[in-house]
Amino acid sequence: MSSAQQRYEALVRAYAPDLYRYAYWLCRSKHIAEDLVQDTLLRAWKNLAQLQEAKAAKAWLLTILRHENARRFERRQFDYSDVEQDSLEDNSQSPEHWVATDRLHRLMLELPLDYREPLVMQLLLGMTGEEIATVLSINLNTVNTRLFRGRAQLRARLQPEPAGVPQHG
Amino acid sequence: MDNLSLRRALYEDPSSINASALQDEPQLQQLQQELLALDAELKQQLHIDVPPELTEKILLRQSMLPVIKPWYLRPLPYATAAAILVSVLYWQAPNPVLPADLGQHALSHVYHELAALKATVALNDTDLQPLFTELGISANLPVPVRYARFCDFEGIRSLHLVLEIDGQPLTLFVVPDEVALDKNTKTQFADARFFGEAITFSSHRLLLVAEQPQLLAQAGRMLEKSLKINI
Repeated sequence: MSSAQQRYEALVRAYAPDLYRYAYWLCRSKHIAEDLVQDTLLRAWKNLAQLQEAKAAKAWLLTILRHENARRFERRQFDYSDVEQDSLEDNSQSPEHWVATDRLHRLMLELPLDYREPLVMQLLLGMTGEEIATVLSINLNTVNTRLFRGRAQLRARLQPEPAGVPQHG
Repeated sequence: MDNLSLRRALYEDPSSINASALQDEPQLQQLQQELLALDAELKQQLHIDVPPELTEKILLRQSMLPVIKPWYLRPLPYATAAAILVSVLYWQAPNPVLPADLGQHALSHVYHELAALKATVALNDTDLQPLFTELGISANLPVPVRYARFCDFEGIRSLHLVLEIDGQPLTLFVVPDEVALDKNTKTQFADARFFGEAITFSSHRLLLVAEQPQLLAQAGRMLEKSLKINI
């Protein structure tokens, strides 16, 4: 087995699970998340020479995955310009939060992407504010603001709801 | 750090503030406990189950990819020579059926929808059959179909499919023609990247496009067996 192949296998085994989880929270569909991770890691194989340091692997893969997700949207926009709309390509419009039963899971899925993404990076992937800022191409203050607002929104929505107006008998 | 800054820092990362910094702030201590508990619950939710075969699937797909060489090691001269040869043959050979620009149109269409070549989800037969029926064909394709969409092909409502053959994508356009054409005539076309073949198949034209010319012959044989034109 070549050293590139060994390196690639190590990369896949180390990062595929977390990439899948991140992709799910990004696109809110397990099915699309699996496709995204596969496309991301195949693109990583084609560009493996670009990865110089092991410690940069996570940020590098996340950047590829975000680009792949953006391409998915471009493809969908392009699809709309075609003659007819009866595509069979899987571009599910039914995010899985419709069936999510756990309240926090559902609230997290409903959180705006700008707030959801840095929270996932921080809590799931253990990334620092600086690392998140690099992957999202925004400054650290913006990352902190989004983390602040994300947690604040979740906390506010988790507060017990006020008692409703009694219904007419 | 003042109360407001501490509150903000807790929301940004509740574990980043040492409990001793909140000694005189019972409300902030309470907030920290709540946010730490929220983070613990969130971590549980974020940690969704991963499909058991995911890693193996990725490694399998990667192992089936052709070896990627830098551009200066690729056999560009051979591909260019083959493309020129095919182009010359194309222009010199009599072409009784295929409109001169139909092959070019097929290539342009492929370039225009390159994303279709990357589709990975195999479509199931129950979804495909209505499309075939609508176009007047019956097909039981023995290879995965990764993409299927009606499209406008030179003004004719046609079917754009991407088949997977030997792990490689092959584009197939099924173009119905109102006038019955000569049976089983073949015409080839190409550019520097793709090779193509147009087959007149009863009252339909099949246009095949792939990066590997050997796939065209393979697909042609397969289609002859698995595709029928409904009368």
